[in-house]
Amino acid sequence: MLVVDRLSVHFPTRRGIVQALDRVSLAIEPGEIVGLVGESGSGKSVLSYAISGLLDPSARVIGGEIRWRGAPIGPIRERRTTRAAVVQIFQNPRASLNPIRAVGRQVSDVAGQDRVAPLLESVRLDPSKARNYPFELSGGQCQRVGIALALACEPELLIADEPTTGLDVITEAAIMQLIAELSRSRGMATLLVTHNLPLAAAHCHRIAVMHAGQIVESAPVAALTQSARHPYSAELLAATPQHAATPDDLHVIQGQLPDLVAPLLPCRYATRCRNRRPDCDLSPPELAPVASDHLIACRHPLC
Amino acid sequence: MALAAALHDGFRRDPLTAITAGFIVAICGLALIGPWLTLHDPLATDSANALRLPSWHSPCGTDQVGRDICARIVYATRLDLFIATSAVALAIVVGSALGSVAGFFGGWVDRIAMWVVDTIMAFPLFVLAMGIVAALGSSVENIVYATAIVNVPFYARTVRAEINQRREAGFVEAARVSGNGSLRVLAYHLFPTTVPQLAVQMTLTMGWAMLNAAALSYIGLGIRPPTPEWGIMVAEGAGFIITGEWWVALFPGLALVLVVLSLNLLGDGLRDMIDARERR
Amino acid sequence: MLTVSSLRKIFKGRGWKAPPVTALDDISFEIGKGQSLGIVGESGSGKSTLGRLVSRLIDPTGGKLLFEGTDIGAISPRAFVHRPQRRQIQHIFQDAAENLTPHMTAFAAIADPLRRLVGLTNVNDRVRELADSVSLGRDLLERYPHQLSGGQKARVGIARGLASQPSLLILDEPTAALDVSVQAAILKLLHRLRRDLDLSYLLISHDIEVVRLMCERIIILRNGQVVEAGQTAQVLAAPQSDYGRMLLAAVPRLPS
Repeated sequence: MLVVDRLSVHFPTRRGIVQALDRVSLAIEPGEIVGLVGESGSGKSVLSYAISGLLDPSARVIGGEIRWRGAPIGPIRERRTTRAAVVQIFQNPRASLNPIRAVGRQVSDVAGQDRVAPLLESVRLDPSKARNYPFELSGGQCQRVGIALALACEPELLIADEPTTGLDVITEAAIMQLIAELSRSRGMATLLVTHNLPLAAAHCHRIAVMHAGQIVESAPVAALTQSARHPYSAELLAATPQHAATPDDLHVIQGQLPDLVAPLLPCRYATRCRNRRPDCDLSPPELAPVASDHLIACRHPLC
Repeated sequence: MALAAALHDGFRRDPLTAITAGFIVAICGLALIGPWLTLHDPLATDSANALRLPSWHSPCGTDQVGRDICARIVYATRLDLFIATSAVALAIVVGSALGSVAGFFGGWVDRIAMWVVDTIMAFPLFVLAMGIVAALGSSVENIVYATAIVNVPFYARTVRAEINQRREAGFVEAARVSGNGSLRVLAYHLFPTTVPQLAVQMTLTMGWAMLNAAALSYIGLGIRPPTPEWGIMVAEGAGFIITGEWWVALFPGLALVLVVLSLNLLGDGLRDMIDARERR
Repeated sequence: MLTVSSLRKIFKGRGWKAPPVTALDDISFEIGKGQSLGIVGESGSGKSTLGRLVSRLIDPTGGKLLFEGTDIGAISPRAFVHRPQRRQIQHIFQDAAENLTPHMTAFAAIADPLRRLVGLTNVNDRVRELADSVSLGRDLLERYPHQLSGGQKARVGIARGLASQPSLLILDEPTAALDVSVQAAILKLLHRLRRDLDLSYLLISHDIEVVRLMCERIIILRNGQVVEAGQTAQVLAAPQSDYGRMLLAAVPRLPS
């Protein structure tokens, strides 16, 4: 349904050219919930904006393309119609809502007055909240309004960019449950962009791990959590606090994200990798299957 | 230095602002060293050479008593800039103090401060300036005071708004935890955040302050002849336009227009630069 | 060392017809020297308010706050700034990005409490010592907050908090805005500092994992009231309340 095919995007900035995405490939099918996981700065938001067609006009696509149902779509923001089939919800729920209009009106702008009550109910908000303004609602409630707005378009693909950061776990669970229900009942596909690996593992069918603008591993959740093959995925899993009994046991991933402006090695994880060998620096690793539906981009994967 | 880098960057993107900034710097230079560079004495009269057209000898011509207009314009630069700068400086000091305490403490302090500001703003500002100078007497000092008073509201309100907006910010609480009392928090932590907006406001009101001083002199309040000042020169020259001696009023008028225009353009440019940075 | 009894805080309603909000109701606990207590709750549970009350940034509406025998609740926030207890109780804020004065360098931020609370005039050596103790590179001291990464800002905030050699640190969501690896580094740092300096922590977080790792005792707050309290290991293994069970069940976990 959605295919990102070796997409490479650069941003010219004052400091130099930021090589934000490098040959990123990703596919999403109807009804699938795909997690896009990585540290901040890994390019996950850039990718989500590209899929929504919201990239800043200064972005340059230097390779690859995005295809929606087979037809290429442009990642860069244009003044023409927004694609209603692909809708995005953003990290800061209040920033997406108009602060001086009641939320019910904002929903009715998109969906029509009749659908306001059922939409609010579908996100488990009391329809009487339609009269409230965003500042009168909590963060979790605002995020649910944002989801209602997104769903009003009856999208085929929902892109959720850190939708639950800053929300408490109970609201987080409720929102993720809602998304899961919708994917079952409407066949809505979801791309969940997050730096929280346990969250993605708990709610997604598949996870794609991103590092410094490259997708390094893409696998079903069980395969990734039990047998991650890329060294970075293994590091991310090991860093999860739940494995540590005391703070001294906490695992810190060595190194830092490379500077995307400087000249980069073919494998952008090489400088941090425990498995690094001389031939890693020869040419970029390609995303290739190691098992059915389990892709990694690494010359020397873990066993 | 962070400021130098930011300015350099801003100027590179917006050449017009860079040019106007350069022009203002040149004008300031002229104010400082100009008087040593002029060939003529601005006060020396020479009736035999009155009302001469612009020539190599006197690039702007001479006025009705034979004084070289060019030299007078250069000397006037110093006076006009001095008046504008001191008036604005005074307005900033008083306005910032008023606005800071009003924005930070709120309550009756805010009410009283804003009452003062609102009272000033209730008058048409030029009329108020006229009134103050007429009451206190014509002198450079009084023009500075009048212009300063009239400009206080702009700064007071700008600073009050900026401080009010940031009063509850995290770094204010952190400053308290670090042992800063209210006044220190206001002076060292909150007030410096208002400086960018103040800088923008300053360049915009400098132009107005200069026009204000010139206008006061034009109507006979303020600077007295024979002291060279752009406003007086335009006033004296106005009568000669009908008789065809256009240069007596034109050149000082042009000087005034160019400087005020540059200050306004610079203010606009700075504001765009600063807004862009704050949005980032 | 710190004894909180029946603490209450009521805020006036926002907006002209809103009723007053009871942020905290009848909160009591103790923290001894070198101990660490975690406060867990949803947003709106009152946990941040509790932190700011103990730090004396806001006034309690009722109850007592005793620190080393002194009733600090009775001292107004304005006056507290100049009391000796201000040195003893420090606060590390959530999201260091907002809590560092934008026009002050990291050096200036750390030097501030040294000058104000400790009264040092020659701050250079001590600032460098503090930077070293939080593993903040000395070359980063000249940078402004917008030039520092999230983890670096967090370290500056911690160094600043340690400047006056406090005995009690209130940590309000110290790692909420950070990636998992940076969070790990900061938590390790905080753990080491507690051991080395014999600090007490009041750690506020919505993240149960963080509290599990860092605190021996835990209090779960809901709508301003204590729902669970006790040894962390026990509460997490067997929560007594429905809410506690619900909260623990909602935490996303990796399949092990």
